[in-house]
Amino acid sequence: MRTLAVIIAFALPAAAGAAEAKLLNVSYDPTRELYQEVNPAFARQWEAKTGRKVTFQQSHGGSGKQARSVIDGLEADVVTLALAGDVDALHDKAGLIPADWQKRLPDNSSPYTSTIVFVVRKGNPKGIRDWGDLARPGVVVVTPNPKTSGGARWNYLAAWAWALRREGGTPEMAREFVAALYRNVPVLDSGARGSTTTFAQRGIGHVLVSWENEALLLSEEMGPGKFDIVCPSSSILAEPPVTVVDKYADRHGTRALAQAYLEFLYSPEGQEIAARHHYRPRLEAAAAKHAAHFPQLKLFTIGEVFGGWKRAQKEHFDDGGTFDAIYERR
Amino acid sequence: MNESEVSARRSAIRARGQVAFAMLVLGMPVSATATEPAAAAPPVAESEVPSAGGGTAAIRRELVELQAALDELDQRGRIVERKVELDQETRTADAKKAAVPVAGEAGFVLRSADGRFQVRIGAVMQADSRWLPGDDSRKAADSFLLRRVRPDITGTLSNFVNFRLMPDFGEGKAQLVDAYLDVHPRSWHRLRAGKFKPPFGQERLQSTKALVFVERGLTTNLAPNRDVGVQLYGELAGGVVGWTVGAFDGAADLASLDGDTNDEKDLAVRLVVRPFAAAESETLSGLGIGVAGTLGTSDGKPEAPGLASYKSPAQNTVFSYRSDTKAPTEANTVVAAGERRRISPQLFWYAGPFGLLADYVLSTQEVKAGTKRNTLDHEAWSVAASFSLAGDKVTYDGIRPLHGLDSPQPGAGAWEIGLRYGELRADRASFPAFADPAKSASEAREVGAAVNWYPSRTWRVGVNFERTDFKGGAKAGDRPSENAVLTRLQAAF
Repeated sequence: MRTLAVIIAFALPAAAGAAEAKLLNVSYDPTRELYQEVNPAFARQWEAKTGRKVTFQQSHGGSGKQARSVIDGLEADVVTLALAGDVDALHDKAGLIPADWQKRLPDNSSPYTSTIVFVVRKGNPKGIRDWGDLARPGVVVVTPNPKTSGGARWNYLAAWAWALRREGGTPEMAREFVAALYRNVPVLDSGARGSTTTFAQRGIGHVLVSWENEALLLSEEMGPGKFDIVCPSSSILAEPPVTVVDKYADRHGTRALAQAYLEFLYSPEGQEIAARHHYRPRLEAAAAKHAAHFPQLKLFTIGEVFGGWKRAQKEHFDDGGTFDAIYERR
Repeated sequence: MNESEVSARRSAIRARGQVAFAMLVLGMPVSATATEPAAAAPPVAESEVPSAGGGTAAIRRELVELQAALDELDQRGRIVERKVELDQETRTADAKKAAVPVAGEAGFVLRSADGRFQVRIGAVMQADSRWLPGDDSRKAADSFLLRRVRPDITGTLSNFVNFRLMPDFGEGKAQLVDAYLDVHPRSWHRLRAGKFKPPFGQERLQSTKALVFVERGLTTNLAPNRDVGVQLYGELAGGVVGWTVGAFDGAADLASLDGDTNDEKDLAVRLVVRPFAAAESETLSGLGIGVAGTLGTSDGKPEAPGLASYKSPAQNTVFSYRSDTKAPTEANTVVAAGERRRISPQLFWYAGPFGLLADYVLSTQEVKAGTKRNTLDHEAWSVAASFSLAGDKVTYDGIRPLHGLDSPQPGAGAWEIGLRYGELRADRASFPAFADPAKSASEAREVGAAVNWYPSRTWRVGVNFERTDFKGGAKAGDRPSENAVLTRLQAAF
C-alpha cells in the first residue's frame, strides 16, 4: 500500500504527451516575421518526424522586458532574445536555466547574427555618414531605451565602441560622445519595433539606429524611395541567443520539443529562413549564398571591446550605471 | 517644449511668414498673363523696402529659415504626440497587470488582470438549534450552537494550481478542516494532495453549504470525514465518467485525521458514471450512478482505538464500542486490529426542481478487545429526496434561487422540502463482546423531513424534523425513539 501511495503520488500520466503540444517562444521585438515563417516550417518537420502536432504561442517585446516577464512567471518553453545578458538573467535571478546555457548550442547559442546600421530619410538630407554625425546639433536620432530593449543596448555599445576605438579615443571621450548622442534622442521606445514605428510611421527623426535586419525589412516593406540605409565605418556583431527554459519546459513536458525547435534554427532550412528575413546565417553554405545581400562591415564583438555582456551590463545598463548617469543629465 | 509653447511659436512664425510674403510680392515683377491689375499692396515703411539685387536673396534666406523652423516645429509636434502615445501604451500595459478586486456572492476575490492568479475569501457560518421534545432521559441538552464557523480561503496560482485552506471554529473548537493543493494540467487528470475528504461517502462529499438536511444521514456514519493523502482524479468523455484514485493515511469512520500512527495506507477509489450527461434532456442528464470503496489496515491502541461511535441525525450516540476513557487498557477498550474495507454503491438524480440521493454502505473492520478478535460488518442505507416549490433548480451543489430578495428581479427566494429515510445496522457479532447492548443500539431507522427557505444565494433558513427508532440500546428492550427538531440559519459565500 505504501508503494501504491508513492506511485499515485507521482503518477502524473505520461499520456499527457499524447495531446497536441504547445510551445511558448518569448522573443525580442523585431523577430515577429521571422518566427511567423519558422514556426509552421518546424511544425511540418516535427509532425513528419513524430506524427504529433505542435502549436506555437509567440510573445514579442523589448528583450530586457521579455526577460523580466519570464523571471516574473511567464512560462516560456524557449526564449529567443536579443543578447546573452538578458538570457543570463534567467539564471541569475530565477534559476530557470543552468549557468552554462550558452554552451548547449553551437556558436554560443546564436543561430544567426546581425549588426547595427542607420536608416535615414531618402537622400540623406542631414548627411549622416558615421557615428559621429549622430551627435551633431540639430540631428534628431531615434533609438530605443537601453533599459528595456536589447537592440538599444547593442546601439549604445556600438556607438561607445566607435568613439573609444577612434584615434586618441578614451573612455571619457566615449562617454561624452554617447551623452551628446542621447541629447539628440527625443523619444525612447521600449523596443526596436517601436522605434521603427516612431521613425517610419510617425515621421520623427532624421536617423534611426537600427538592427540591420530591421533596416532591411523596413526598406523591403516601405519600398524604394522613402529611406536609405547607411552603413557606419564600424559596427558591433550582434549575436541574439536562444535557449530552452529548463524549468518551464520540464514542467510542461516539452523539453525534447523545445530542443528540436531551437536546433531547427541551425538547420539548412532554418538558416535559409533567417537569411530571407535579413539575419546573417551561421551556416557557411547559407552565408555564401546570401553574401551579396548583406553589406560588408567592419565588425567587432562585445568580448573584444567590453569583455563580454556581464561586464557591459553591469557597467552601463544596471541601475546606477553609465546610461542612467548620461540620461539623467540631459 | 509643451503644447502651449508650440502654439505660440507657430503664431510667431506665421507672422514672420506674412511679412516675408509681403516683401516677396513687392520685390517680384507682375506676371505677363495677368488680366486684372494687382491688388494694392499694404503700405510698407520706407526702411523696409529692400534694395534691388540683395532683396531676393534675403527673402530666399528668410524662406529657407522659415522652412527649417516649420520642420522643427513639425518634428516637435510629432514628438509630443508620440510621447503621449507611448505614455498611453505604458498606462494600458500597467492597467493589464493591475490586480482586480471583486466582491459578490462568490466571496471576496482578488484576481490578477490576466486571471492566472487569484485568491478568494469565503466563509460558512451555521447557527443551529437542537430540540428533543418529550425526552427527559437524554444526556444531550436542547441547545443553540454555532455548528460551523469556517473561513474558506481558496485560490489559483498560475492557472495551474489551486489551493484551499479552511479552518473551523464551530462548537468552541479550532481545527484545520481542509488544506490542500490541487494541480490540474488537464480536465481528465488532476492531482490533489493534503487534507481533504476522501472519495467515498456521497453525502459526505457534498458541501455542507448544499445539504438539504441540517445533519447528514445514517450512511455518513460509515464514511471517513477528512484524511491526509493524495489523489488523482478527473473526468472523461465530456463528463460522462468521473474517476478518483487516492492513497491516504486511513481515517476511521466519521474521523478527521491529521497524521498516521502506522505505516499502512488506505486506498480509496470512486467511479461515477453519468450515462446521459450529454443528453439534451435535463431530466436524464442529471442521473448518475457510482461506486466507491476503501481498503486499508488500521491498528488502534487503547488510547486511540481507531474506531468510531455512530450518531443519530440529532448527533446523539447510537452505537459505540466498549471503552474506558479514564483508564483504557487492551482488556477494557476495543481497538481496530487489522483490515478495514468499505464499499458503497451510490445513485443521484437531479432534474430541474427535483433531487434524489441514495446510497448503501458496508463497512468491515477487524477489531479486538483483549484476546477476543472478530471481523465486524456494519451497514447503512439512505434515500433522500428534495423538491423546490417555486421551480428553482436543485443540484448536488445546492439551490441558487432565481428570484432572491437581492436579485435584479427580486422575489420571495426559493422554498425547498426534503424527505429522507435511512437505516443503520451494527453487526450482531458486536454484542456483547465489543459493544454494550444496554447502551448501543443494533439498529437505527431514521425518517426526516426538511423545509428550507433561501432568501438569497448567500443565506438560508432551515427546519428539520427527525425521528429515529432503535432496536436495542437499552437495559431492557429498545431505546425510546428520538424526536428532534433541528434548525439552521446559514450564511455562506
